[in-house]
Amino acid sequence: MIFWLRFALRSCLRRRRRTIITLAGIAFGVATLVVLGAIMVGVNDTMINNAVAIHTGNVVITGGPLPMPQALLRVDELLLDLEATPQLQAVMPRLHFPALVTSAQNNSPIHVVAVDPRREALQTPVVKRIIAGTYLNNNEGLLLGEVAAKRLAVKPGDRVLMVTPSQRYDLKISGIFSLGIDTFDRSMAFISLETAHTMSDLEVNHEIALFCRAESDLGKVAKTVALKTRPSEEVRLWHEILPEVAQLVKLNEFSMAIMVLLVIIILSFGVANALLISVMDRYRYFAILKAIGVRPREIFIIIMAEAFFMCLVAAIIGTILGSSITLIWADFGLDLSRYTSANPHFSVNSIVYPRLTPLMALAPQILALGSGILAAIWPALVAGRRPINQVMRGL
Amino acid sequence: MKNVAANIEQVSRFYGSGKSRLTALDNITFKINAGAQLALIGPSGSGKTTLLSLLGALERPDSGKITLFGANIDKMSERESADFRRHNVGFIFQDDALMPELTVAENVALPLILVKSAATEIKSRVATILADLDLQKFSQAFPPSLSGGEKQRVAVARAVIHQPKLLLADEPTANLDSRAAALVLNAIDKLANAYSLTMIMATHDPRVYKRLSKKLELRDGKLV
Repeated sequence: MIFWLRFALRSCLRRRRRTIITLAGIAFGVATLVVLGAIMVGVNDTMINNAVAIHTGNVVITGGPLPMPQALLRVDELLLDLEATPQLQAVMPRLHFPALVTSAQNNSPIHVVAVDPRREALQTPVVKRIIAGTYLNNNEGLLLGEVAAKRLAVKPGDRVLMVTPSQRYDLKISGIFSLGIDTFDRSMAFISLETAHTMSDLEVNHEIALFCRAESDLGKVAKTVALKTRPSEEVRLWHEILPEVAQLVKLNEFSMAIMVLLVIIILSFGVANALLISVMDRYRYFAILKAIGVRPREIFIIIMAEAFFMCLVAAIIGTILGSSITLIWADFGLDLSRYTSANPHFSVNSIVYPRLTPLMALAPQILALGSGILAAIWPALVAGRRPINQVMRGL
Repeated sequence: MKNVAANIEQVSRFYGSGKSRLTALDNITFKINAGAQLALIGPSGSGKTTLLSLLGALERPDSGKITLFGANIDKMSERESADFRRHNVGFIFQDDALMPELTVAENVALPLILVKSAATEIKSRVATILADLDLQKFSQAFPPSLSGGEKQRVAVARAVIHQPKLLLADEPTANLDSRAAALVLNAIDKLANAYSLTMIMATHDPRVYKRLSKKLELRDGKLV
């Protein structure tokens, strides 16, 4: 067996032009799949990060409504319990309540979120999307969306009245943000938790947004969190809160799987074609081997081993090539803003950073190797079964 | 019967069918004794290569029976034929028919590898036979770097290294100049005699068949 493997390897090395062309085709296909896979992972990362950063967190604890003092106490308790969790990158307390914001010119129904400005500044994109005034730097005032600010005809420094079911609060506009998502820019406003402390008459829903260090930690974090929450509180993962984003991720993965399948099928035909031509070129050669006493099974092994060596080397070269391109590309990213400017899932960041995952780096080479070997079966059978008498006359 | 190497009884072989059917061998019967050196002569198309193919178990007759060293080769499966050839038959073809990816030594060693000889035995037998044919200096060379005569002598070494019972040669000097042809024929003589091989050589070159003890002439698929 070892002799036939060595024989096949020598045969590949001897027929350099054929081997190099076949290798190049497979390697190029594998490299393409690795790069495309990394781009797909990068697109999904960007979508998830954008959605999670704006809307939720990777894991969200929600509860309430509670009176404001109790809600503030509860979020402090949860912060204390969860902040030391090693899988968590950030823990953000948020209080939600509806209000009607009224200016001299107009009024607008607004969903108000009380946040910790220091923590939010590290994670959420709102800080980077201030188009006028400042973020909640001094824990003061109201941060309003661009569309709402236009409707109310207010600018930073102006005063508005925030009307809640129980009370009215006079607040100064500290800044205006624009996330480029109409729903947010029209109906969201932020105040600091410190400001919320003064609104003791309000009933609010509390929320703790948890940002994981890695997507793979999601399950572990959810389990830890479940132990710390009350029965009245709900723990949800980002894909439960944002099923449309989760579906888009699945759709991307499905499209990629189809792409992988198509490329692998094309590769297989390429391998089968290259080997079949090589076998047809060598009918005489195999006839000589058979005349010496080589069995059809051993001829089959030679062809299969040739396919294995070529596909293995090509898969390794393709993976190295694809990984190298991805790693270089991952440094500067791929700016998709021309194609995503109207897409809410890319509104915060439209630069995609291709990312290698073990699956996307290894699957193309394993598939190329497997399909290449399968594709070699037919040419190998042809070589093994060809009657010698048809070719002996040319000897 | 004990010293009969090959017994060919009423063997016929046809190619094609219907109107295009060609009779390559027509009811041939003969015997070859063990150790005999037979020249198979006749013009091109007379059936020499077909007869060699049948005797080498490369194809089966359409009718008749071929017994080689007591074995009925026309009833063998493909695998049994391959095993029979690897142990009992050596082939020398019109051109060298060497494996270009193997060195001269590896080409010569191939039949011994197939019969699973020990590595040390293979090494020593290859060295001996290459020295006998003055080819030792090409031991690690690849066939494309050799001349036609050198390649054919390597092919001779490969055909006999496993000491087959039967050596079949199909016009082994057809593509060689007279000097190279003489060297190849000398090599065949030397080894066939040294190993006491039964040899059948197809040829239409009088310089070749004059060297052999017996002649069998074929014409239009029939023995003359």
